Amino acid sequence: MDYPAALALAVGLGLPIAVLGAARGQGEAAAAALQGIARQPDAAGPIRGTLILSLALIESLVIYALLMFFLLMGKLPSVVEYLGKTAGQ
Amino acid sequence: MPLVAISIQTAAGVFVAGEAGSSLAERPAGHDGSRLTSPQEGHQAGDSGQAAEASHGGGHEHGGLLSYPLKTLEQSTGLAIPEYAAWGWVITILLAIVCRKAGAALRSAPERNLAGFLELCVSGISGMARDFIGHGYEKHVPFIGTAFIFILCCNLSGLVPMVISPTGAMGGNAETYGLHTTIALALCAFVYVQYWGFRQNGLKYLSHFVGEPIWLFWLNIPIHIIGELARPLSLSLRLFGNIGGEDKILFVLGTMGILTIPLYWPLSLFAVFTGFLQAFVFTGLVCAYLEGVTPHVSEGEGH
Repeated sequence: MDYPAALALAVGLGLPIAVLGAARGQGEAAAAALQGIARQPDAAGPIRGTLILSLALIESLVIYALLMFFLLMGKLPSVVEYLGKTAGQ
Repeated sequence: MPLVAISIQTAAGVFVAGEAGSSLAERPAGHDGSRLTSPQEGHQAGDSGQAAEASHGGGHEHGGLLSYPLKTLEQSTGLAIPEYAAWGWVITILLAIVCRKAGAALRSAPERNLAGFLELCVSGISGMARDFIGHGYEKHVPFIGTAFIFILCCNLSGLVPMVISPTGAMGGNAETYGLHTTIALALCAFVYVQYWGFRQNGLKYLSHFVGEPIWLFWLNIPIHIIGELARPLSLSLRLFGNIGGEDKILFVLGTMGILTIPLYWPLSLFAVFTGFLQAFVFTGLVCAYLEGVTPHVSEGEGH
């Protein structure tokens, strides 16, 4: 596997793998928050605030992967360039 | 009424598509020259920071409303101001005007609409500060309120057509990637938290870098210092990634021709929500850091 192929695989697979872990984490956070609200409906306000903050913190890890995606996508060669390069060899 | 809003968004999307077509046809050449980006500090109605001076970014995919005046300014005086910095100044000046008018209205007329609305905002923000920080929260409300409102306006300004958002715009090339305004904001928050940490705790603040088992200090001190330094980095990356990513997605949607019509306006509504959420997360995290450095009387709050 040469460099553009490996780079394309990294660009395509990096972000979804990050999303897997983050989705699981956010699901567990939301489940815990819902249980807390179900047990004490009076504390719904602070629980909701903490839930939003925790969800945004977990999501920021996915955003780092998104930034890496944008950085790497700039380095991908276009199809015409790549085919021209391999045809010339 | 929703039809008007959707048609406005479609027109904006079509306009963006036109810009994208014309700028993608000529790929911008690479840049030479040194890039000096000093952080831009934007505060509201009070101290104004210095404008970020970078060599002008041709890596923008599109230019906003100020691109032509800034280009003529650069050609005439040689002063290269990037467009996102200029829009940051515009937002700061607009916020200052609005808040001065509201303040004057508070003194003169009993309950004007603008002053009432801003009172609602301030009470909401100070309530958030009270929930997070606890005891000594009043003195932090100005900084937190400024940060929240400025970040909110910067985030939402990316959705207005022809405006380049200071928090979401890409920088010149891959080195100054787009973190310019967000890292300036995060550095302001970092300096603010450290200042209040030293002011409220004295030199005992340095002792919190040493963790619980004292004999592990050689491990705890580097880890805590790296953790402290990672905070402004994560704040800036999070804010830029969310807002810049959302703007870039909206831009790509604008290039898609007929598919723009059903796809653009739901995502721009979601981008409004993301703007609010990221401003809330930024200020919430600054509040959490302030809570860490505020001495609490009842319990021994340490790291």
